[in-house]
Amino acid sequence: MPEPSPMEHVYGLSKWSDVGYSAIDTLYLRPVRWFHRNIVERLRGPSYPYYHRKFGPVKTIDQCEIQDQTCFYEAEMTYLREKRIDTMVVEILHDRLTRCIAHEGRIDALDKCIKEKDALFESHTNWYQKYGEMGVPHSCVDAYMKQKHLMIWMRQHPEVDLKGWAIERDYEQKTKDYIKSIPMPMEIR
Amino acid sequence: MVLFSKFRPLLQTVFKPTQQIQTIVKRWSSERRMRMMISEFNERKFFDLFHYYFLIGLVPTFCVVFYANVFVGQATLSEIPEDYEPRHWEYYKHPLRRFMAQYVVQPFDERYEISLHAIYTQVMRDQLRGLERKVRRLEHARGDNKGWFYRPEVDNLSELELKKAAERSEGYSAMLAPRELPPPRSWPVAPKTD
Repeated sequence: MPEPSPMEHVYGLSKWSDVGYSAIDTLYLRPVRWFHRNIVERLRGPSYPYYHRKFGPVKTIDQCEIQDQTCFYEAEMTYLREKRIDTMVVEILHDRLTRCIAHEGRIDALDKCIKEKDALFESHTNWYQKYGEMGVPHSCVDAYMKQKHLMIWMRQHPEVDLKGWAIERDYEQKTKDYIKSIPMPMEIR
Repeated sequence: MVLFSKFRPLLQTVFKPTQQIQTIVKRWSSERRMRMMISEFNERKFFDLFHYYFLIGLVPTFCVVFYANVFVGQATLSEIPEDYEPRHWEYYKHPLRRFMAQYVVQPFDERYEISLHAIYTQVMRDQLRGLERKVRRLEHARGDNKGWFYRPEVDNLSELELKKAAERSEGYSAMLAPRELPPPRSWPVAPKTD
């Protein structure tokens, strides 16, 4: 799902949101849809394809020879591409969580949006472990060294939970307890 | 743009000079008056420029963009078929972007390969310079060969002199003769003519 679709409007939730959406509907959405259906789709020419770029397999830093500048350049470009893709992935998952919260509401999201929250948390942690806190600018060699030092540290401290799931679950539970502790009539809660 | 012509009457209603200043009676009849008006020059110039840039800039751009979006349409994503290598502009969706990639902009892969080539040539140059430095260092240290370490100075005039001397010693030839003989020498001693 690289291009998320806009949310459908639910009539009946609120009078003013209905009025606003009806205004936007008649002024923009209906004319545009009419124009698109009756004029654009009749006059449009034949459809033609476009493709996603495929990058071939290339040596990474650890496989390059010493003083092989071309190999370094290719490894660097691959590293930057991977970093951009991972950043987009994290952004998309964050976007999904935001949409889930907007759909359910801030309180119900604690119960219903756990999957999106966990996905975002995991992807964010992984991104941080792979690319985070190396300073700007940094190279693929710095990232490789970070991976190496991380693996060494993990081997030396196997009992430490680096992803932090326990802390996350603890935080969720504390939030729910706090909300339960607020005195409120049952009709609203 | 349509209502620009309404600006001036509005302005005239705001600035209403008094009747005395408005009327200047010259050598005309008693009924004709010269109206004292606010300058129109800046307004005319502004509208001129606006219409100029609108007609030459916005209208063709709008028509081109309208055609590209309505008649041509954007591309649809599809898998690369077997044994087919897509051209570099077929990786873009919007038709105008495709046009730019096809005719205006340097291809993405080409840019990559050029950078790689630049790095490669620079590496080669550095290696050759290192080699030169090494050879020069060894020649200087060992001192057993004149060829590389010796830096000859180029003296074009001396070379020319040697060439001319060789020509003169070979003998004058009718093919190479100058138009007239040089004058007889008078200094330091004139030649004996007997």
